[in-house]
Amino acid sequence: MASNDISPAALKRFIVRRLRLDQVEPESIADEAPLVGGGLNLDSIDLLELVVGLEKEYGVKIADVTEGRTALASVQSLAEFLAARRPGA
Amino acid sequence: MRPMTGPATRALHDRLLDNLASSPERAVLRIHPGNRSLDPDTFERTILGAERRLARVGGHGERSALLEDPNRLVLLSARNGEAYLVAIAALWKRGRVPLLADADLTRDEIGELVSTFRPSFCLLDRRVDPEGADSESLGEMLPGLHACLPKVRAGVKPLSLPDEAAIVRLTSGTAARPRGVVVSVEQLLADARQITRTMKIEPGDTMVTAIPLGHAYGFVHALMSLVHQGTRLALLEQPLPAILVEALAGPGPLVLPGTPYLCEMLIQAAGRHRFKGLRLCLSAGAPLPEVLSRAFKERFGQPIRTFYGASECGGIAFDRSPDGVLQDGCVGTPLDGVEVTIQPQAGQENGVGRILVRSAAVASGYTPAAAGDLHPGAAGRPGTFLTSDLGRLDDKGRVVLTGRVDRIINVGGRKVNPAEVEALLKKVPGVSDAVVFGVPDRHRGQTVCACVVGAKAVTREAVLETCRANLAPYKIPRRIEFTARLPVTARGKTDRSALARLISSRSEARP
Repeated sequence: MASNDISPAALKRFIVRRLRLDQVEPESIADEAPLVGGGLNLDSIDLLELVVGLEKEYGVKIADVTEGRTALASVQSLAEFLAARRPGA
Repeated sequence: MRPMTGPATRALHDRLLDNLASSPERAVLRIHPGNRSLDPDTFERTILGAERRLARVGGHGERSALLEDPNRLVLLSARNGEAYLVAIAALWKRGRVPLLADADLTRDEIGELVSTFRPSFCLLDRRVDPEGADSESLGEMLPGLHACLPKVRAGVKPLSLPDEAAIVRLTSGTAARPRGVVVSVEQLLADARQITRTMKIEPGDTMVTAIPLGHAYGFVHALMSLVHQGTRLALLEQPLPAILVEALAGPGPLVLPGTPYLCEMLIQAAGRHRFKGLRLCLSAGAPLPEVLSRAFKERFGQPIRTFYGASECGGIAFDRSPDGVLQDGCVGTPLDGVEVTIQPQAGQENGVGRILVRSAAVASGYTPAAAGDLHPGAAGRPGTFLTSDLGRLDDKGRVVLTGRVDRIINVGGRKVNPAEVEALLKKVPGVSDAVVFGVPDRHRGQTVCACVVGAKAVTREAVLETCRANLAPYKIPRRIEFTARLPVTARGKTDRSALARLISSRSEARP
C-alpha cells in the first residue's frame, strides 16, 4: 500500500524507522540538511535501504544514479521528488 | 599466445587480451544501467588509449618522467565502471602495481594512505586532493578517473615490492594504521583457478558484479574470472535495486557474487521476476542468516551459497551442501586446493581455535613489512596463513566460524579497526577516553558503537562532526553512548563484556 503522506515530518519518520536510527529524533533532522555527509552519516547500505523503502512504501522506483543522488540529497529534495513522481502525481 | 616479455604483471594483461580475442561472444562486458555492451576490440582499444595516456602522466612533454620512476605502486580508489577495469589492465601492462583502496575513503584517509605507502601517483574517481593545495593534478587519465601526484616526491624512498607483485590490498593492521597485503601474479591466478573450479564457474557464465571491484571478493570473483578464463561481466556502476533487477533479467547463465544485504534487497525488489537466468548466487562479507537463506530459496527456488575468504589468503571455503541452507556460522568446506586446519587456542574449547589456511593463493607478505601470521610458499607452492578468525571443523569437514581473536569490526565485509576510531575520538575537545567495538546489525553483520567518556559539554553532534571530517561513512559510530567512566576488570583493563552489557541494557530501555 503506497503511503500518501509526503510531508517533511512523515519523511523524517520514514527515514528513522526504515534505517533503525534509534539515536535520532525525526524532528532533529533539518529539512535542508544533507542526508549523505551530513548529520545522519548514512552509508551505502542506508542509501540502498531508502531506495528499497521508497519503492515499497511510496511506489516510486529510482533506476538512475543521478536521479537517486538528487532525490536523496535532503528531506526537502525527497519531498519534491516524491511530489513529482508518485503514481497519480 | 602473446610472447612473455617485460614485467611480471604484463602476463595478466596479456592473458586478459588473449581471452578477449578468443571469446566467441561479441559482448564481453555489459554496463548497467543502460545495458551498454562492449565488444573485445573496443575494450582492447580503450586499454591501449589508457596506456598511452598513462605513459604521459606526470610528463610535461612527450615523455613522462614517471616512465622512469622505479616506484611501481599506484593508488586506485574508484567505484565500479568500465574505467576501473581498463585502468587495471593498462597499469599491469606498464608493470604498475595497483594499491586497491575503498571508494568511500575521505580526503584525509587517502592522504594517510599516501604517507604510509608513498605511491608514485593516485587514480581517483572523484576530485580528492590528498595533500592540500600543493598536490599536483594531472587531469583525467580515463573518463571519470583523475590522476594526481603526491606533493612530496623528491627524496622519498618508495616501498620495496617483490618483482612478481600484482596488486596490494589493504587490511586493518593491529595498530591504527592500515597494512598492505602484497599479492603476486601467481597467487591471484591460483585464487581465481581455485574459486572458479570449486564453484564450477565457466567462461560462458556472466558475473553480475554489484559488489565493489576494489575489494578482494569482487576483484577475484569478477575481474580475475575475466582475466583467468574470459568469464563475461555485467558490471553495475551502482548497485541500485532496479539496476540489479535489470542485470539479472538478462540472458543467463548468470552468477551473482552477493552479500547478505544484496540478497535481502533482491527479495524485496524482485517484483514478479524469478530470475531464471541466475544459476548461482553467492554470499560473503558478513554472516549469512539461515532465515534469509531459507527466504531466498523459497522465493527463487535456489539457495544462496556462502563463500568465505580473507585478503591475505584469498578464497577459503564454499558451501557445497545439497540443500544450500547452512546453520548460522557454517561457511562450507575448503575450496579445491585449500587445506584448513584448526590451531588450538588457549581458553577455547570444543575443538575451537584459529583457522589456519594452506593454499597457493596465500599472499607474499605485508607492506610496509610487518611480522605477521603469513608464510608465503615458494612460487606455485602453498603458503600458510593464520587467520584472526576463530572456528572449528564439524563432523562433515565444514568450517564453522565462532568469533575472532582480535577486535576488528566487520561492517558488511569492510573491516574497521577500533583503534583508528578510538584515536580520533580522543582528539575531540573534552573527550578523555573512548572505547569502540562492534554491535550486531541486521544488514551489515556488525556496526560501529562508541562509548565515550567526557565533559558534560561534549555532545553527540560534536563527536560526529569530528568523525565525519576524518572517517569514511562505514567507520563512523552508528551508536554513541556517553558514560561517566569505563568499567575496568580486576586487572585494570577495560571490561569489554561489562560495556557490551551496558549497551544492550540501554537498547532495551528504549521504547
